[in-house]
Amino acid sequence: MNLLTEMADKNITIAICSIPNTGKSTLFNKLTGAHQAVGNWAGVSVEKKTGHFKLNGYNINLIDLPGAYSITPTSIEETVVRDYLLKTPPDYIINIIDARNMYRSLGLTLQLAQSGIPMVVAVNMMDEARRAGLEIDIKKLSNHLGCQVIPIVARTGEGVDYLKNALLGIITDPSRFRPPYISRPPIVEDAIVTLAKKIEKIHPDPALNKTFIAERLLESGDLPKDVPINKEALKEIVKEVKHLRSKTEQSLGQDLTITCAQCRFNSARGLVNEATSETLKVPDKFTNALDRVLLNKYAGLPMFFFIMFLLFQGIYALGTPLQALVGDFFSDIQSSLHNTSLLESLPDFVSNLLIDGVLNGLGIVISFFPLIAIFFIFMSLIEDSGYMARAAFLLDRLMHSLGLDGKAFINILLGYGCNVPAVMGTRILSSRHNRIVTMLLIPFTLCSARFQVFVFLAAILFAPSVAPWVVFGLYVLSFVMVFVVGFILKLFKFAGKPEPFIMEIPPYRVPTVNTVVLRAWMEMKSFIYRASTYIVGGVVLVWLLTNLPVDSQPGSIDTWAGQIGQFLQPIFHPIGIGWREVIALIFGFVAKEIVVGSMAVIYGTNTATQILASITPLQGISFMVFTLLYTPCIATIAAIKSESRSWKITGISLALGLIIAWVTAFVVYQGGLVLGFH
Amino acid sequence: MKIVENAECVIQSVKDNGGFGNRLVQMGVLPGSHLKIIRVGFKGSTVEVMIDQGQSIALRSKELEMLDCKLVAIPLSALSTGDDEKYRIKKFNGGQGFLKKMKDRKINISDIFEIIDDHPFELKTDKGIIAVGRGEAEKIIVEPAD
Repeated sequence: MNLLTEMADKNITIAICSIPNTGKSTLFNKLTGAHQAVGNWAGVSVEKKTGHFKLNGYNINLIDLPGAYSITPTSIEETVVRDYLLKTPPDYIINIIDARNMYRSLGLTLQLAQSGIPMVVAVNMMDEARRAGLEIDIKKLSNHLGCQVIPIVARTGEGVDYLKNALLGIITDPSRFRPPYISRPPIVEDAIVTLAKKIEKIHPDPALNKTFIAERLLESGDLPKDVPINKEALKEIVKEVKHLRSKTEQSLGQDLTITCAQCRFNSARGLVNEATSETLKVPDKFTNALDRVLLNKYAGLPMFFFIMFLLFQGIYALGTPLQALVGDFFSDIQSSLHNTSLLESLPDFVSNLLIDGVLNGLGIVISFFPLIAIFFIFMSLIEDSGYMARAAFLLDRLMHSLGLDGKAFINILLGYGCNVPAVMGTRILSSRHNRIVTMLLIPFTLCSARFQVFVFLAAILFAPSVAPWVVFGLYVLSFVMVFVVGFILKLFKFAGKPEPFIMEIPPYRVPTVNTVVLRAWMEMKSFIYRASTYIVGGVVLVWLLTNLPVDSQPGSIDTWAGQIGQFLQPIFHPIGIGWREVIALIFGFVAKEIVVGSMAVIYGTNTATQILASITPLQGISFMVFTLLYTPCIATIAAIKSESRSWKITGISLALGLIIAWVTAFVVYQGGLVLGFH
Repeated sequence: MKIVENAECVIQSVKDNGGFGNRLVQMGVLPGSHLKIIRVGFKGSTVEVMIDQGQSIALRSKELEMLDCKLVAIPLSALSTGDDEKYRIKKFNGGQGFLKKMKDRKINISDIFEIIDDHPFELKTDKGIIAVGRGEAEKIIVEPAD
């Protein structure tokens, strides 16, 4: 028993908290290695990364808080950070300062230092500061901030051991930490002291400084729900806050939130002046020179498309063959299992379900691995090097018309290769609004699986000189539909209000192999955890639909899918799609390329002649338009579900696809009939 | 503020304006902060701005225009006859050759002038009337003289 409590005592929670672009993830990776787990913060689609490491027998649970400029929140990420600190304060905080530009980091550092939670500050990117001839007086910084300050280079790991020692230091002796003082106008100071005294009486948590809570109250007007505090008493205090706010604002002639930020950054400016030799202009010569080319008025966009072309080629020239290889490997296993006696003792139905349903589903999950790995390696190269912000700048104008910012363009473009990683990649976008809108748009892109279906059908239905133009026309349609749906989403405000656009353009940096590889690995891991059950479940469902009842011919009109096809006939008749194609579409839900294979099953031998005999060219086009736009494959749906963490968004995506597909196919088919095509 | 490359301004006051002002403030961009436009994006809707510490941020022109700013530098080329204010030459954004050319033409830093014509530029200073080409006007950075 004694041993047990002693062990439990040694579990410690530390949160890493810093503003964006200070090397937070790099330090997190350095400290935890691959001992990480990715999840979501409750109720929001903001990534929550946790990791573990051992420190002299202590089990450290490290939480990577989202990048935040301030805990006076202006974004969902910042709200997550503030709420976390107020509701479940960690035992210790690691804060990171950018050595090249301490001023911008110190605003948050000063806020965190006020919290009363013992903190260690890491000054990162010391190598770059040194190279630029910047001297930083670490001791002075440490004296002013009231906590230990450790110079580090997270990329190389320099100083990280000292950082660990410093952590050990405050764990064994928390008295080494004292909150710094920020000078404020007397009227604000008085208001904070008055509030802090009242909070003292009702907030029992000793971890948080009462002044810190008073400041949060005064700046935002209220506290987040479920902060452990007496609700009735809080109501009284909130009334008092209102009064104090208007009093101070009247006296100072400006918004209180702005006054508080001003006080904080004035202290930061003073601190920078005292602790550094000179101020450094951040964009180095290299960044300036490169930007002159990559952001050039005329060359910028062509360069962007060239880089995207390389990226696209890189991902899909490498990824698609690998995906096919893994897929073939699994279908080989499937067919060999069919022929072995291993499953003979089971009834046919059960063994087929296992092999063609469950195993097939697993094969699909695994076949996405190479694609996801390569996709995220390229994605983190683009992001970590700093080019992502440039791309966003270049394309902002175009995407702004949809209420998005430029970054979303890259995701949508990559959707043309494969929707699944493109949806997963929406995690890099800057707000929930942008993430949701983008993941709703990606399914309308013509991915390589759909491309296979179109090439197959166009070759059968059209003359060789016409077929490529049909496929090209579908590409154009896909692009147009992305914008049409984008405008519809904007009009109906499906994803709420866009956040104001202020994007940092960081200096260029060489990405580290460690970070890039780790990222790809983590993405693959999270894909298994989050998407595989949905995918296998979906594949099994479709298998059941197309194989039940037990004695029916698979894919025939007798199966449930056939029944559904017949039942839905009145709906599909106006768009020129027969019950056989409806079954193919149901198959296509598993993966779009299966549409081709399923047609072979449905039409039996001489597929091409059979199709030519029963589908007119116009019906074929209508079918292709429907295939392009309707519900994406199971893997994409699973990715949307796991990224949005919302069945509602997933449902909207499904419904949107079906409705848009039907309407567009209707216009194409009926329009074609009116114009005299058949 | 006028959205042209190389224009500079100092923020006078910040209002929240749909979350925009508040976010700027939380990033340390406050009344008194200095902004310089270093790049104007496609069709002028997005701009890259450098803030005090040399940090570069991208903003939308519409939101930037709504900030309460005091203009402290602008290329002469962005001005027109309609601006009947007086301006002072602040600096030359050019190499040695350009500086020499300016010196030879007796155009000096801290000269005060009015714009008589903007196509091509004709400036009235107390030394007389000076003509300046388009290309040159882009390199001459001026500030309002009050």
